[in-house]
Amino acid sequence: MEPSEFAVQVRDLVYRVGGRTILDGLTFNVGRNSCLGVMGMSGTGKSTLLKNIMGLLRPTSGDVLINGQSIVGLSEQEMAPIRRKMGMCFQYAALFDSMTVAENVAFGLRRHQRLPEDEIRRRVSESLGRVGMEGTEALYPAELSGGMRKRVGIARALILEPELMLYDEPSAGLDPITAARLDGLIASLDRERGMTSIIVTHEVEELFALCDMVMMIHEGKIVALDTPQALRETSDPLVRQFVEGRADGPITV
Amino acid sequence: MIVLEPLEIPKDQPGNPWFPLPRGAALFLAYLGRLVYLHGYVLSLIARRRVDLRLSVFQMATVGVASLPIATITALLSGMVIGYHFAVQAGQLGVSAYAGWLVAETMSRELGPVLVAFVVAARAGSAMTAELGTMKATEQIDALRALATDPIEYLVVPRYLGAVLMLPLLTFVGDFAGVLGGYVMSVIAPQINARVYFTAIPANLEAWTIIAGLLKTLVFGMVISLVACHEGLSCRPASEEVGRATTRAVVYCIMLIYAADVALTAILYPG
Repeated sequence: MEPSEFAVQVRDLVYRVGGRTILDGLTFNVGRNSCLGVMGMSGTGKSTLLKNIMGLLRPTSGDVLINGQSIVGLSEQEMAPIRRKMGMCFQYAALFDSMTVAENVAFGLRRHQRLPEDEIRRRVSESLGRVGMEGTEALYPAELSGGMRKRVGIARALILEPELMLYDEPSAGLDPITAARLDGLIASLDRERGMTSIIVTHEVEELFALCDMVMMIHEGKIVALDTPQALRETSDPLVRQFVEGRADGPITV
Repeated sequence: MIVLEPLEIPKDQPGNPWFPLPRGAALFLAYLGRLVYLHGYVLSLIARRRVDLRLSVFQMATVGVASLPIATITALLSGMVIGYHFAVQAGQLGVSAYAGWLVAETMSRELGPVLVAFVVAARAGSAMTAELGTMKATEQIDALRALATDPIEYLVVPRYLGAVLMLPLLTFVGDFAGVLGGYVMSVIAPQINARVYFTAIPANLEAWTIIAGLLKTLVFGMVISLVACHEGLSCRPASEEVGRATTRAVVYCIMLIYAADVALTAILYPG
C-alpha cells in the first residue's frame, strides 16, 4: 500500500456518550511533518478528539485513519504496532503513580525494545534532559508539582521517538519560562525529527506560534480550519471572540 | 474495549421485543457475559504466552504471602469453633473419637476453601479493584494503552495467575490450621479428648476430599480476580465511584463464590 500523504485523516467523526453528542461530524486531515492546533472552549470535545485519534475511544460513527490505515474497530493487539509510532501527552500527565520518574519514562522502552540497562538509563536521562527534568529519576509522581509531572509525561511519550505526537494542554499549569521552553521543544521536534503533532490548548498565542494549521471546535463541530495568519485576520465572530479572549460575543458561557 | 466501559443499560433504551427481560435480569446477564468475555481474553493471552512473569510473581506474593496470616488465623479460629461443637455433639452420640475427623472433613470440603476465598476476596480482591479503579480515574489505564500496552495483559493476567495459583496453596494451609485449631480446642476444653483427636483422621479422610476442595478454590480464584479486575477497569472516573466499585467487587465475589460453591460441591462430591 502506498504510504498516505496524511499522517491522520478524520472522516465524519461522530462521538456520542450518554445521549450527548460530543463530536458532531468532524472531517479534517493532518499532513506529515506538520502541526495542527486545536482550540475551543472547555468541554467542546478537544480531549475526546485526541482520544478518538489514539484509539482510546471508539467513534459512534465515522472513521479515523493513521498513515492511511483505519483504526476504528481494531483490537488492542492490532492497535499496538500503530500506537508504538504515536505518543500522547495527557492533560493531567497520567503518570504511573506506583513507579518512579525513571520507571515511568523507561516504560515504553522496557515493554517494546530489548535494550541493555545502561542504554535505558542513558535514554531516560536524555529524555528527561530534553524537558528540563534532569536528576528527578528517583522521585515518585506524588513528589512532583503538576507542571513537573506534565514534563515527565512528555518525556515518557517522546522516548520512543514517535512519528505522531498528540499533546493535550501541554503548557497548562506551567510557568511562562517552562512553557516557552516546552514550546521550543515541540517546535524543534517537529522541525528536526519530522514529527507530526496535534496540539490541543486554550493558549491561542502558543498555537499560532507553533502550528501550521489551526482548527477551532465549537459545540462539537469545526467552525474554523485555517493557517494562523488567516485566523488572525478572519471576520468570523466566533473565532474573533475566542482569539481576542472577549467575554462578550456569540459564545456564551 | 468493552470491559473498560461502565456496565449500564440506558433507561430510555427500548427492550428487545423478541427477548423481553426485566432490567435487573438483563444487567445480570450482561455482567456474566462480560466476565465470560474477560475470562476468554485472559485465557487466550495465557495460551499465547503473553504473560509477564515478573508481574505475575509479584501478584502471587501480594495475594499469597500477604493473605497468609489472616487466612491462617481465620481458618484456625473456625477450626476451634467447629472442633468444640463437634466434640460436644460427638460426645453425646458416644463417638468422641471421630471429632477430629469431622473437623478435618468439614475444613477440607467446605470451610477451608470458602473461608480462605472470602478472606482473599476481602483483602486482595478489594485492593485489586481499588488500585485499578484509581488507575482508571487518573487516566493511567489510557496511558498504558497509549504506550501500546494491553491493560488486560499487563494488569489482569498477573492478578488472575496470582489468585488462581495461590488460593489452593492458601487453602491447603488453611485446612491444616483448621484441624490444628480443633486440636487446640480439644486440649483446652474438658469435653474433648485430645488424645484421640487425630486417631480417626488417617483412616477416614480420603485424598479426594482434600483435592476436590482445592479444585474448588481454582474456580474461586478465577471469580475473585475477574470480578475484582472488572469492577476496577469498568469503574467510572471519580473517587466516590472507586469506593463503590470496591464494595461491589467484594459483595459480587462473595455471592459468586457461594453460587460456584453450590455447583462445584454437587459436581465434585456426587456421592
